[in-house]
Amino acid sequence: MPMHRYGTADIKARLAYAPTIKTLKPEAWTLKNVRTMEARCEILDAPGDLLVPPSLRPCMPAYCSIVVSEIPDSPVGRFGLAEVRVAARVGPRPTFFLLNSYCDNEAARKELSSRWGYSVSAGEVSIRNEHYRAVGAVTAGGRNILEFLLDHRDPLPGTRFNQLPTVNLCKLDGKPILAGVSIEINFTDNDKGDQHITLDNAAWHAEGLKLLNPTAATVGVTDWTFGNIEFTVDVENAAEQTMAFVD
Amino acid sequence: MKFGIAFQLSVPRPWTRESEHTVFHNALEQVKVPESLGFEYVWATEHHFLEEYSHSSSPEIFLTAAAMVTKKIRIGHAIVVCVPQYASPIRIAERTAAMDIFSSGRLEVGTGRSATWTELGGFGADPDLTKKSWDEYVHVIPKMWMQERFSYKGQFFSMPERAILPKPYQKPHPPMWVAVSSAGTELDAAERGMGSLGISFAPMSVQDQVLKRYRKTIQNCNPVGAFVNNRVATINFLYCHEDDKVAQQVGGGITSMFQPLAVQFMHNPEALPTKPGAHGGLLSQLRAQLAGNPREGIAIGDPKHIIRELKKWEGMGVDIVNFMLNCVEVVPHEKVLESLRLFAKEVMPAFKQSQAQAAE
Repeated sequence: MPMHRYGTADIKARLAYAPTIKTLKPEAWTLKNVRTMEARCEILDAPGDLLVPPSLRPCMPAYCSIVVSEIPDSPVGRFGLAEVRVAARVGPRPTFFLLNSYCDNEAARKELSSRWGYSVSAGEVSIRNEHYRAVGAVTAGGRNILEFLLDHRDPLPGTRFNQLPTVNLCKLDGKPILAGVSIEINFTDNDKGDQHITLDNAAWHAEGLKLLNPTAATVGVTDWTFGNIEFTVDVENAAEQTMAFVD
Repeated sequence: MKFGIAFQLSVPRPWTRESEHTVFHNALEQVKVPESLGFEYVWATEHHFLEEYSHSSSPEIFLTAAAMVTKKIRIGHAIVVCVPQYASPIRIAERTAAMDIFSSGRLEVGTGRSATWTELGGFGADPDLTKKSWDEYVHVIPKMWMQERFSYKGQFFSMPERAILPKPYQKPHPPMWVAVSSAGTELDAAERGMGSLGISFAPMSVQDQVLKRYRKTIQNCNPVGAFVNNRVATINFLYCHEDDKVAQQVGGGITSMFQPLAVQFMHNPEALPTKPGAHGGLLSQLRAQLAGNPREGIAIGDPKHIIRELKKWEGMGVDIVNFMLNCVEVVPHEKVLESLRLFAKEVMPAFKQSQAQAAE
């Protein structure tokens, strides 16, 4: 497997469900007391490459991030959001490329896609938080498409989390772009634990993704600030040449 | 200030039967020549699974081979990973003692705990525990070297009383170091009376702060071994050529290859939601460097440039500068040797004088 390789995702197919954003400088959102579960897990290289856009480089080892969040309040009210992302490099910069997300609030779906380029489908998102475990679940069309159990909870210091920008495939002025969204996240409470995940690949546009080797799983309470799009990248041409920061 | 060379044995694709053979044997040649030129240290790193970037998974073998073809140069294990899934401290004590014997007392023992998910995950190690296991290892290894019989009961390792053999040739034992890439690790080194083996390419201003904290803290250390090793080493790249532009063109290949590879592998703790340690990060350091003067402190250039930059390190109080001579073989072997010879002829004399003054 060559080191200096790029992703081989079929961007044309993915553009079919890519949203349109209006501006690179959307109005910010600050969301308080968000409960977030995240699992990171190594995946097979070969199908992993098929999920990464051609302008980005797959990570070595390949891995993915599965996030389930419950936002108790926002400008559009309470909503749940679940994401499946695959790790990718924008040049040397570590990021996650969003494969698909689900949200249970229509107004939030509209805002997430039109402001920050989230590919977001309708589905019920829930977190059951218990003292010894947490359970994240997503259902859509009457089917369970994600079950995420975190058990053997163990408290962690508040700041020791790695958060990475999410890269979203979207359109701006009719042209496809990859938009890097950095969410400022402050943790007030978090645990790590063991992860047990069942994922419906097709529902997440994650064909071929196979969860192999869990790296870690966490559940925490956080404050989020969605700000500007941080950077853009061409969808086909190498990020090293096409990445541009948004002033 | 003294000079050393450092190897990570990077092997570019496409791989053939000869690829690793060539890199390993060229490296051995690049140890013999520098010894004759006055370099005083050769270091080899321990990495696993870092394809192309480093195939130096058994540095003790390479370093023993290096010891066998040299007489004076000191042999630096940089570093031994002190994590139970990688090796028991018994095996580390045994094999380093044997290396010290074969090198007739030239071994320097660097210690560390790895920071990449690629490696830690490959061994099934928990990154949240590596600092603790490292601490336990560095406390027991000197005792294993020095005590005729040894027993221990700890968190990561326990053993009934046994004779751990052989014993090192150096008495009481070889000098011990800590790989310092994360902010704060210099304090771990200083508190334990261990040398600070800098392996980050952080800007000089950052490293100056690290060095000052180290010097201050080590004055009140509680050494893990029988003596304090208060030396500070830093890592650098080296390509020396009479023509500064040629040096930058050829030597620049080393850094331009090293950086993306390093970032890809060495700084991928983001695979974990939790960080393996608090650190400024190689990536951010490289960014900071690129944003400022990318040549500051770097020994790639003509002799004049290199002397000027190395004098800054000397002024800061660094004891040893270890040079990486290549990365994925971007510089042909012969050019590496030419660079070493020119460095020895034109650059080293500027530092021998200050060494002599320091000795007086």
